[in-house]
Amino acid sequence: MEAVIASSIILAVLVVMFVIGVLAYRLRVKVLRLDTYMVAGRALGFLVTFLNMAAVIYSGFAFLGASGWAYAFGAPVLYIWIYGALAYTLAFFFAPRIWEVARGRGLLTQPDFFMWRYGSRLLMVLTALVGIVFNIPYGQLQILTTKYVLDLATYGALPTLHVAVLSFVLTMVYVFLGGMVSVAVTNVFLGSIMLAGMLGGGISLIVYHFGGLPGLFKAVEAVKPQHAYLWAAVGRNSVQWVITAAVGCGLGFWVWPQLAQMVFPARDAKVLRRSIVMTSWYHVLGIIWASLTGLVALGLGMKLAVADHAFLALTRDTFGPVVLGFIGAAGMSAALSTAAGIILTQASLLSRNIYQGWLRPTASEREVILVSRLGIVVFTLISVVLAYTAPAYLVYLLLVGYTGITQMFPGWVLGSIWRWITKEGVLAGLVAGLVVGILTCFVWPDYLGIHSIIWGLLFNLPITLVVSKLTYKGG
Amino acid sequence: MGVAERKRSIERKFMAIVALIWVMLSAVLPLVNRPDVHVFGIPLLWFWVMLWVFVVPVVLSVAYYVLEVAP
Repeated sequence: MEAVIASSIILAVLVVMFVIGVLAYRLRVKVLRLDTYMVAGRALGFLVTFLNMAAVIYSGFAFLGASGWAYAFGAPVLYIWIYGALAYTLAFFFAPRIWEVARGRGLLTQPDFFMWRYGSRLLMVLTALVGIVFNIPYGQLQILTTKYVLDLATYGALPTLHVAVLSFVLTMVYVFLGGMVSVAVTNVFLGSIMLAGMLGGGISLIVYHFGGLPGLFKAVEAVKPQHAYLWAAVGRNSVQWVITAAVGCGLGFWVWPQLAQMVFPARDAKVLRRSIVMTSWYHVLGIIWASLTGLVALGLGMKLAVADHAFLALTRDTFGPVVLGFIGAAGMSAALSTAAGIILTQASLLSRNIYQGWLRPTASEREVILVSRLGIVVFTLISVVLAYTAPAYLVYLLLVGYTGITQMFPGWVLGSIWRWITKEGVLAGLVAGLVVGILTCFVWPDYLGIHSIIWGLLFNLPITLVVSKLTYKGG
Repeated sequence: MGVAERKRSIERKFMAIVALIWVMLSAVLPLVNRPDVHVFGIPLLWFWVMLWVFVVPVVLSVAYYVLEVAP
């Protein structure tokens, strides 16, 4: 009976999500132009921009990984709190500037910016390929996250991998049809559920079991006192790892191409700035309380085979099937909303920057939209196949993903501020950063306890600046 | 360099310095790492980081009001 209740709630949310996505296309998309498909015609108001951004940013990790980290490691989870705060502060000043450039020059994707700013087709194609490749494991991960959510939330009553794949495919149907309009409107619904789940679920669990934060930490320190601080000289539980992970991820946060594509659809810079402020509140009201549920599970002495199950297992054991259904639906919403943003972005990079920008510059808008839609089908199939076969090597792409993407920071952020950053500097720095980042990810993992992102940037930034100074010709 | 261009250049330098300071401040948060100290029953490190991340949206809200609403 519990399985029926919880499953019904989750499936109901899935159906509503699909209906909204399709209706958004039928009712809001009158003429399908390329800018409509990729950036909703740059017409999104505050509420849609804000919740769309939040829904794409906070993936299934918010419901599984964050609480799992708190359960397993304790204090290192604070890097997530810090990097979010850092990222939103930087975006408050930097994102409106990028938005204005994009609107003024008709830019639709992040690699469009690299083409416009540096006049380099090589940089454009390279950044498009980096954006596509490093996002592949994230797409697949959202299917698996949905599966894990369903495993717990449906008491094992459903064939969860198949249902997760089905929900992913249903999401991609409305993405295929309406592009960013469907994604954004649906994300208003999904983003609202997510926030309610994280905030409501997190605070309820803390108050129910421990009366508040002091009681929670007292219980945690009784079980694992080392969770309260950073106790190691090197490694994940060291001060330097948390600092470098927080700074590295904070700088790389807005370099992910799907977040650039969530910035461009805003109606104006004021809407964008307001959305960023509200998303910073979303961070505080959402991910912090969701991650603390891991400590609740630890404080209660729960023995979890998989740390990532902390939030949902706790909800199941504390509140029963109705609440579990809603929290499970929120977790599924988090995964699918992010997946929608990722797949649309990958398809946009493929069609706009690889196909039209490089292979066929004379392609019409209609052709590019067709290639985008084909791209959505292709990337959906790739994610589904990988979800079933789950090759181990994808984990390596995940691990190096943030490190790799953040190496575009100088070209993307500094290049939008300083005129003297050149394509030669960006290319040289990018290559150096990628090589060092990969080495410190796999060969000498987080050497000296410093995150590989920072190792990459330590070589990338000076090389970018020096080579740019040497090659800048003025004007 | 014209007057407007010089003003923009100074503004950018100012923003770059402010951004650098903000990144540095965020980076040093985990240095407050005292397991023996608690504030309102919360370990100091957790309390301090929580306070910081709550302050950030407040500051951004004020900044938004000053930059976009008040003028």
